[in-house]
Amino acid sequence: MADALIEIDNLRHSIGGRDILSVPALHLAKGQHGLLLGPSGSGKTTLLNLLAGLLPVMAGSFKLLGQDMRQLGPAGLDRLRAHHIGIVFQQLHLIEAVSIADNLRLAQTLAGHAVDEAVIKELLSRVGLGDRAKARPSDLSQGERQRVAVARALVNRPALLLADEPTSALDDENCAAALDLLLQQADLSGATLLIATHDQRLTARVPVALRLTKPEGMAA
Amino acid sequence: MNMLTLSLAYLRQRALTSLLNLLLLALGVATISFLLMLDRRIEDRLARDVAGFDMVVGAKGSPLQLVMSALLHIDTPTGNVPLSALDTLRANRLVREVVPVALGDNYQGYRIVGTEPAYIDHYGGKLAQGQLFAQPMEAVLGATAAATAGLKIGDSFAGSHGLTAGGEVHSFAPYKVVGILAPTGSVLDRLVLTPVASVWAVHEHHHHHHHDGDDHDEDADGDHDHDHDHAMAGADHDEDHDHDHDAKEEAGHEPHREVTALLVRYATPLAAARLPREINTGTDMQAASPATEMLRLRSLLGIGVDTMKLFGGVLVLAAALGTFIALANSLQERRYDLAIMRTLGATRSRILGQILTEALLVGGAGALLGFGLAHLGMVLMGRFSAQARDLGLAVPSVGLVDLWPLALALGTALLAALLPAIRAYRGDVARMLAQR
Repeated sequence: MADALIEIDNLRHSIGGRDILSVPALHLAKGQHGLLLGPSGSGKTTLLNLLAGLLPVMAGSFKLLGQDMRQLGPAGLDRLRAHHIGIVFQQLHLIEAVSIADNLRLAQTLAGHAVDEAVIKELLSRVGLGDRAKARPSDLSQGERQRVAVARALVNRPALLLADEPTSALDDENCAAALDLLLQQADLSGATLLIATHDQRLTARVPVALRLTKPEGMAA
Repeated sequence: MNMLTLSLAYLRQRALTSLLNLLLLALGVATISFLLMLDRRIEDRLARDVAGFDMVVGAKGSPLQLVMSALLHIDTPTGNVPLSALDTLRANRLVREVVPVALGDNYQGYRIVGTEPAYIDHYGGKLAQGQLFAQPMEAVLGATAAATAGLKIGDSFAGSHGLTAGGEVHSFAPYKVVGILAPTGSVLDRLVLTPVASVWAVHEHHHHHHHDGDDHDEDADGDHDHDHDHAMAGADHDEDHDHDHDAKEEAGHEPHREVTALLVRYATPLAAARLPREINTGTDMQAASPATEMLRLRSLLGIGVDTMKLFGGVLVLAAALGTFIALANSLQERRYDLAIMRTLGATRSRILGQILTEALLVGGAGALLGFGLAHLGMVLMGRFSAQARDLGLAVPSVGLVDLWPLALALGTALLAALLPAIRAYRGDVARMLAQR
């Protein structure tokens, strides 16, 4: 695949000798969106952590942007994550001590980039928070917090945007709004969006890239 | 957004905890700094003021009291000795130098010392203005005494009876300022120096006035206890005895004049073995060795100072423990934030730096605040306590040795941060995030 973003074959992950994840194959091209669909306990979050370089690859083949993830050490994984991956967590995990603009600034500096106020301003405007840049995360509604989390994940212009259960606790209306936000912002940033979810409502709008089952009968 | 601004943001987020934590550390540092500085000042001052004199001869009594009154000027004298002892000692071939000291009065709490120019030379005193005293009732002021009293060359002032401020004012016998000394960092700075004859003159007048029943300048409140004050001046003789003196002195019987103490330098080490014994057994006087008495004083003070140091150490330890707990708790609460920072691309060393920066901020601010408090305490103590001023505490100075509590506080903060920092550094980000 000429513009392959994710190339996974026969990936396995185990804890204490027990397999908790097996992925025969997952291939995703740049700009292509997909779902990692499966029930709780099927290894979605583990796969997401592997994709983010937060867990080491134990067995199988995994290339991200053509780089063999097994060859990268901790520092290499940190660099890769900083420059090419954005993550929106289910819990959002905003830094509460600083303003929402500072959350974005922090994401830039931690990734080793210079703070780009223009990018921060543009992103906050895109998610409808242009006038709340100085607000603390605790001053925002849950929906607004999610928008900050998306903006922060995109501030370093990642090639891959990972989202963990972004709609699981939302009603239909808010679920649609959250998905709109992710798809729209990923498209605007030219990022590939991969959503780990058990929410079947998303399948109507995003193709399933990988269907995970519980360890007893894991299959692609 | 750099490490410093983020650390400050976290400290601001829990302002009260940060402040209390900082105060705890500051109090520990202040206590131990204060004690160390006090200890050092006392040691320095004692060493400087007693240096050079091998023996102090004075009236019988406590040898420590004699040394403290005659050399350090921080205690009442044991009494007086006949002036004739000065000539006797000067004639002794074992003696290189004898300097008389006559005490009795003060000006604004600064002791008026009747002595000879050799006393000033001994402490390396140099005139900043004017000249040395040549006649009775001429006075040369130590730098601190002159500055505090606001006296300048040509001014007149009257001494007060006794060695502490508040005694009966001898307005009938004013002194004239003829010289002001440059600061020496020794006891000289806080003295008013005059010929021995001035002290005799003032007290001769003093007794005449009392005897004649003149309305001299008694204490303003009128309740001044003259006998008590006289004892404070170190004259252990009674009024009648004094009057006898006066009568004989008026008739020209110089040998009956007295001085408070004689400061002696030996001509040979042999003198140390013979002279004190001869004086102690063969005369009504006592000989005290400044070096021995200072050792005794140090061992007496040492217990108190050591106890206080131990107390300060415990306080620092408690502060360190408090800092450790507070920092460890705060970092434990923030482990998710630290994990998030890792997911945002922060390297492990950046996380380590972040935690250590925060610890150094708390430790550094606590240490500086504590150090400042210790100095403030020292200055205030010097300002409000005459004894402390006597020790030269009012003027802050920083020595290298004063800096180690700062290092201790910073070390404590770093140590407190080390465990959470290592945990954050080595921690499994994926697992940490999953625990939320």
